Amino acid sequence: MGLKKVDEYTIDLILAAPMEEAAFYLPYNLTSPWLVYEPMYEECKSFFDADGKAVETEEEAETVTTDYCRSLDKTVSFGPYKMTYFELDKQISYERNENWYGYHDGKHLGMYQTDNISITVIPEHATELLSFLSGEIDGVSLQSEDMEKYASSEYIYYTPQSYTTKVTFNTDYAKLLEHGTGSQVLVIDEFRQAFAYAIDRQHFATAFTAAGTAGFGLLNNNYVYNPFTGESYRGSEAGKKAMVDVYGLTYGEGGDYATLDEAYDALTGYDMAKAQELMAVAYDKAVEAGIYDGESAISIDFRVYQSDTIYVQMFTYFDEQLQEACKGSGFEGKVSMTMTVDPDYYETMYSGNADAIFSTWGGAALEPFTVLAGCYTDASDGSGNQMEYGYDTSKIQLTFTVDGEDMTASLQDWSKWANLEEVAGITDKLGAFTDYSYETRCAFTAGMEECFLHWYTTTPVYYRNVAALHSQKINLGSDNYVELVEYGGLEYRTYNYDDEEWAAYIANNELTY
Amino acid sequence: MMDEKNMRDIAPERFRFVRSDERIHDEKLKTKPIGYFKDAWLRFRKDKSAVVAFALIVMLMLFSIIVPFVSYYDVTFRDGYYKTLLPKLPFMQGTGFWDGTASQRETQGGYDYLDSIGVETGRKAIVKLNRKFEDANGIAYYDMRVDSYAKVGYVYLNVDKDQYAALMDYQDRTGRQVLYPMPRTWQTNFVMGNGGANFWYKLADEKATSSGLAVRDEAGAFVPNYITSDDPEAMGYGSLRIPGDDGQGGWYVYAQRNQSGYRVRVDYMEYFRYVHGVLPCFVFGTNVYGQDIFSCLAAGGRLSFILAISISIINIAIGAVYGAIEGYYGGWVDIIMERISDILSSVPFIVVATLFQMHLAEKVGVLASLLFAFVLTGWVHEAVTVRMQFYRFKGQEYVLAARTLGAKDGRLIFKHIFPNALGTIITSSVLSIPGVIFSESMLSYLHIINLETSSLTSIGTMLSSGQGLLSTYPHIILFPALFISILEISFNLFGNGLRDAFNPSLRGVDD
Amino acid sequence: MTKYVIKRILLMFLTLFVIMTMCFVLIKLLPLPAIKQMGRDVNLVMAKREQMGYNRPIMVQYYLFLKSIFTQWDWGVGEQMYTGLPVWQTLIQKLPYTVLVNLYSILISIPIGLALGIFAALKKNKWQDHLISTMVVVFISVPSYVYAFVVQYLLCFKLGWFPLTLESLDNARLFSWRMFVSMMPAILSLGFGVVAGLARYTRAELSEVLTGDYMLLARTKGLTRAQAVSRHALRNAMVVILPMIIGEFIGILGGSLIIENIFMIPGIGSLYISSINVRDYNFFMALTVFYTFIGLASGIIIDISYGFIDPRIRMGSKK
Repeated sequence: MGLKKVDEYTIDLILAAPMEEAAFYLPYNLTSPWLVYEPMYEECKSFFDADGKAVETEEEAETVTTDYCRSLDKTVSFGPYKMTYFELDKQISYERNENWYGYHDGKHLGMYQTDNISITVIPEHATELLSFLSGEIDGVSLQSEDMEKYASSEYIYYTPQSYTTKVTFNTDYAKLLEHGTGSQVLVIDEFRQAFAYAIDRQHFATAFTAAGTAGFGLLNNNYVYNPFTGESYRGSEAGKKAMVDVYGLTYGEGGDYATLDEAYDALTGYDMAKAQELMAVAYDKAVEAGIYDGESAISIDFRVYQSDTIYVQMFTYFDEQLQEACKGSGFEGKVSMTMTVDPDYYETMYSGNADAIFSTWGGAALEPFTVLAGCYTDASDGSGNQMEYGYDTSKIQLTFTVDGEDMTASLQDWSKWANLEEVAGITDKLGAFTDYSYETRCAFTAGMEECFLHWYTTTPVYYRNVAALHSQKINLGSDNYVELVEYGGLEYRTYNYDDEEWAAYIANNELTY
Repeated sequence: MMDEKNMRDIAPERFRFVRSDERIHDEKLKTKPIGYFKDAWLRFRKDKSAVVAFALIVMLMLFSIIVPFVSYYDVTFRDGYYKTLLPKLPFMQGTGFWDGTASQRETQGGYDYLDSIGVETGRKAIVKLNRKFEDANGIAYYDMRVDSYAKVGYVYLNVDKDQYAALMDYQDRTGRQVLYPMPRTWQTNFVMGNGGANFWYKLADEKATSSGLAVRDEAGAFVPNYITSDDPEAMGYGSLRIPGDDGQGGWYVYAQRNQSGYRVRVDYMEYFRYVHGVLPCFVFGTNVYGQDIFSCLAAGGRLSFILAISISIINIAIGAVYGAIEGYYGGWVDIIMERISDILSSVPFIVVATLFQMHLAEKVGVLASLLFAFVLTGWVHEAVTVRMQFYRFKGQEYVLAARTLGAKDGRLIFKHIFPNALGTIITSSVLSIPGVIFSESMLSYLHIINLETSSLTSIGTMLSSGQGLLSTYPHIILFPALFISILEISFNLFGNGLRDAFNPSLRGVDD
Repeated sequence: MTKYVIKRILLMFLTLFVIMTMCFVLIKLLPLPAIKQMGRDVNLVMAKREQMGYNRPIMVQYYLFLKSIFTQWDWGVGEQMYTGLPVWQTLIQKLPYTVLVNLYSILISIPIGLALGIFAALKKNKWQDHLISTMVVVFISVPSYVYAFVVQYLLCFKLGWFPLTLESLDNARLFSWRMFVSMMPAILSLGFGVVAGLARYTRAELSEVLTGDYMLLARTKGLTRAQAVSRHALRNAMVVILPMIIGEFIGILGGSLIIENIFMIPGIGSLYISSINVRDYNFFMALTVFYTFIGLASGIIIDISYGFIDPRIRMGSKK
């Protein structure tokens, strides 16, 4: 709701509704505060009227622009470090800010041992690697071609990211028809489902990514649904069940596998036979409904950001697998994919002009419940989808059984409710989302995820991880990855050599990693 | 002093013939008359470097054309696991040069990993251990020679029931072991080692998800970490078993069921032989995406040649006509046309290429828009040359003579003046070919265009993808760089030779 | 003479104007980059665009563009990249790097190239000549980024003679020795090509000049070989070579994109590529005009210097 200043060093945060676990969520959400230095801030404002001419005061102005923090002399730092040098495209330097309160309050002993930080812009990865190997820089992130050499190094560390890369399809019939390439067959559910079954995600992750792992859901292994116990969302029963159902595995009595766990372990998402079956069904459906004339060539336009070889490789894989899936059905030999370079491909998809794109979404690892609303079901203008053009989640109905009673609402409404918004029809009957236990919340979210994925408008392909090397100079705060803290960051980093010792060390020794 | 009377009355006897015994005529031509082109050819032949250059060019062209027939692989070949393999000639095995091996340095964990590959198959990854040492921090390092082909090791595959049966059948028929027992990493939380397929041995850290130190028994051998079962036919396996799989402590399991059918672990080299019928051997190695550099180079060469030659021909056609008109008519026609060509040639090439890319690429394709861009800026050079020539020859007497005799303009242009320019035209167009190839490679490198699709590749793309790996895998950039350098050098020398050859004023100079 | 110079300069501006118009129209014809919808208020962006006049007809936009250039020398601000930063200031900030690297490389390469060329011409057809000619051909043929990389790997990484990347202004002033040393790898990479071109050209010109009759006359007059060469041959060869040198300098400004990328020099080459990729009109226009101007200017300077140096070619009007 707002802030109220109490005194020089205290602010009151006024919330619209009481917040559960405030002690946990509040500090987490306040990690990037919005304090500015008032004199400087006011000075940096510029006012313009409706015609674009500059005016003097705020009252006359139509638009107000500011260049606070746009250049070194207009930047005010109030953290442990302050910026001392900024050169566009070249270097940013920081040094210790002695005025920071943390150095004097006795609560940060032993932390922030770094004196100076220098960030250098190196556009070429090869130069970056050479720079690292000769001791000039202290950290480098690895690409897939480096993995083979450094994967067994002592100095490598992996950072799981909370992103899942997926392939997203356009399912709006009218728009697809406009493209004129026959891609309107994408409206057939079985067609998209066949695509989902035709990709061997494990092979994809190994062959085409640096440290990615096969991805099956919207949320990857990183998300934790109970921050106090650290239990992972994906590993929870509800999370596993969602995956198993989406990819068609059955368990228990009469199922293929004995238990849920077994079914989940067997999950690959890759079943070419089933994909071909589905394609045959899709073909019949398409012809019957008059969507496809049965004869002409179909070309699906896949847009990528730039024409890097890696995209070409990935795209070729999709194309080959899609064509393989079409074998034996009426689509055989008629379907293919084309790749188009489009730096604005997200925007093209928003306006419905692309057939398929890579989409990569993720949220904060400790908040799996709001990911659906934040990234999938609620566009900023309130329409029912963000990237999955034509898939209106406000029209998809989803039923949950709560306390024995069935409740049905649209998928969009459910996800908004999970996003702590008040939704008529749900909040009045069930209360707030945060009223429920973590397990229940997890079950809700899994149900929504499964519902969303069941339409196969988007197919997860892999989960992202980042691999990086740190130099021998540095000791990371932690050897294992810890949520929120990661490997300790700047706060807990310690050093084996200071600058002079390091210079002497690299002069005399060849660095091996 | 003689007076006039005496001059007229000189007696006839005082005259006599100087030479009456010989006939006076011009000296016979000592050499036969030769035509313009024959003359050029003779001069060209004398320039050894030009001849060698020409031979090289022909060789490179033949290389580009013949390779698809000779090589097992083609430009669409792509292997997900045989990436960045080193060049290997089959008969060089064991020599240490061009045999797919390289020196490598590893820590203990890496050494264990490489050492373990080949224990099951007999095909060792470590060809030779050179030395072991410890650095200032006490970490042990091993220097060794590693076979990049064997290093790939084992791979997990998802196969359906039919493929599973086919694999078992192949094993029985040929006696070659393709399927190997499943270790406990089969669910692949592993980030490396082909998803954990190479970690068939026990690791010291049980919870490890990437490599680590191995547990060794008293003899220093690895301790297998396979899944075992009491049923020798577990997962429907009824084929060859590896040595040591004798039922004591359980039978090894060779597959696991999953959604796709079965998860199996294969020795990738044997599996490759199963799929393709030959053992892998890439003459120029593979690049970072598993493509065979040998075939890709040929494909890229083909593209470059075709592109460059067609651009040259189009440029000649347009430029020659334009220049002829300019040069012949002169005056206002010339001034206006020259202004136009001047402006066109001043636009920086990159701008033209990019603008064409952005406007046309979606409609006519990348290659066509690139062609347009090259042609648009290229013909001006030709036109200028031709115009020069026309100015030189326009005023010659024979042209005047022909015109007096009634020859029309067209006839004059094409029959009389043009052939003089022909030599220069040919030379300048030949010399422009390397420029086209160069520019194309630069544009590919800067990612302004990308000629790469699943069935095409260009030299520029190969160079740009290999350049990031110069320090780790230099062979990826070496071969395209050699190709383009030899091409450039040869074209330059060839062009020089042509220029000297077509220059009739050099006749007799270097004799 | 002056009349010719003035005529050429006017012509240059005419050409520049035509090209500028063409480029402006062409790039405005492309559809506007779609508004990024994530985290931005679409209405705000639309309002700003209206304010900047994007929705007006192209010719009106062009008029506004020219007006702002001629009245305030305001080339606009970046929109897609370096949003909000004025184009001209950014260019000026980055220009010194590019100019310096090119300048150093020309200054170093010219003497070397000349020396090699002269040497080769004097020892024509002997083994020195062949050696130099081969080297020349090799350096011209290998793409510059290939040996840029080799230089970086060998000289900077393996041997450690030079730092891998350029020093920033924080650590060293622009004209200091340290900055120069860190520019060395880039200078070398750029320089090889220049040396090769210059050597080849010098050798060709000088050898042609050496066969002239007046050389024979000079020798018969009693001058030693060295005197004859330096007093007569070189002068005549210079007529052709000097303009080429000047042209080389100006031309090289346009060609160092890849080198800048590899050696991390924040110059204007990479700026250009990025502006094309993200379709930032203002940067693109400014840089296009810049490069075109350079190209044209080098042409003019070559022509004019021909006129000054060679008394035979004091250009009047063409026949």
